[in-house]
Amino acid sequence: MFGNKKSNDRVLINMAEKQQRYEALVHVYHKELYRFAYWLCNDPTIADDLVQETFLRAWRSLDSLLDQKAAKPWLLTILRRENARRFERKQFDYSDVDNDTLVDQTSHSLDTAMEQTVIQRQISLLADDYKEPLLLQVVMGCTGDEIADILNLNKNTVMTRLFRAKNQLKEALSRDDEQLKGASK
Amino acid sequence: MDELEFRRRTIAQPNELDKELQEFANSSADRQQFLNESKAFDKQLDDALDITVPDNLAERIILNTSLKEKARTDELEQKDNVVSTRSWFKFDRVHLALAASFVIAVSAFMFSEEQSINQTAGEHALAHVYHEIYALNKTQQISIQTVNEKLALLGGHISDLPGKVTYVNFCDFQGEKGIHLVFESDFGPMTVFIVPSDNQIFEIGSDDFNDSRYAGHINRGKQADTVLIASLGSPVDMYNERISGAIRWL
Repeated sequence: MFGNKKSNDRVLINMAEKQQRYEALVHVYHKELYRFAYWLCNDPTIADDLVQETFLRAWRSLDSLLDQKAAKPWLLTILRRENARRFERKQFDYSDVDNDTLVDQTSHSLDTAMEQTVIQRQISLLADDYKEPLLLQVVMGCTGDEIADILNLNKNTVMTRLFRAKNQLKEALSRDDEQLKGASK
Repeated sequence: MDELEFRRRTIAQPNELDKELQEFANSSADRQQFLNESKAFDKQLDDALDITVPDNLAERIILNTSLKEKARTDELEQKDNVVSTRSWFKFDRVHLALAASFVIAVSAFMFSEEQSINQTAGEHALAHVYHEIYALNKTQQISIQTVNEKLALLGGHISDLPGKVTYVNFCDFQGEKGIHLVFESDFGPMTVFIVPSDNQIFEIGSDDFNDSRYAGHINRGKQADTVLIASLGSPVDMYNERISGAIRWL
């Protein structure tokens, strides 16, 4: 029993270290992950839940994260799995994207604000196959290789999907642009 | 590399060009411009998606994890205790006595919810100190800002503490969310619990309490109870007024 003192201390130190590692992880990645989740499901409450659940699971398997550099793809994998689980559990009845929550709070001008709203709407309309690689690149700052790993696709497919996603957005934006111009005439 | 391929790859990944693509872009002003436009478009998308993240999200994540984990480990330990008590039964008396005392010590804390009627505030506070004993071994300084970020969620603010803060965390006090804080007093690490008094968690028992190792004092406040615990013999009273006085409530 007395020989256990040392190992008990060790356990306590390890726990404290784990807690520190964990809190660092939360602070570094929670914002990006929240944004990613938000645009993935278009709902602030679900996004909040997804990020909470992701970090809870991350804590439980933190020991399996050996390389701190792999933290981002690791967290994203957990979050995507949680999101998929949501659909297994229950098919949510989506309300349409709520414009109130989409308006950028730091908008510079009416034009920019309108343009941003258009972009937001168009992104939410993209098929998941296109939306996910795009969000990973733009919101999470992932490289093509990382996206390929996370989505389990090859690099060329990722490239093609990014290209198509952006092309679709560009087309939609120029369409909206013309409509706006037409309306103001 | 042809023009079409260049455009495809530039639109797809303008910030990730390989050497070949970069050289190809550099070789013509038009391509250079196309590259710049593609980068600008990505930036435009990024700006459009840059929504505000809810306040205190990080704090809520950490709190949520610690509460859920505590509930889970409590449950696991409870099961473990039953199993280990049985298997230790075959060993000598010392082991049996140890097992028994361990079960009692742990269950005093675990079943605190059910036993809260009988458990005094002092017992509860001491059990909590023992449960998170590692909190007393920390040395790294935590800023008063960090303390206040957490305290703000309970509606409080602390101006100063008479020593370096080395631990601060949200904790569950019989279902009531409170703050568990440790600072370095002149007499060694001192634990402070700040728990909203809505549910009268620390209602029963006297203001002063102690066991063979620690002594403490409960300051029952209007918004929150503040509990101080330090090694036996430390002048806890001396700190009591200073700490309670330093906390302001909104």
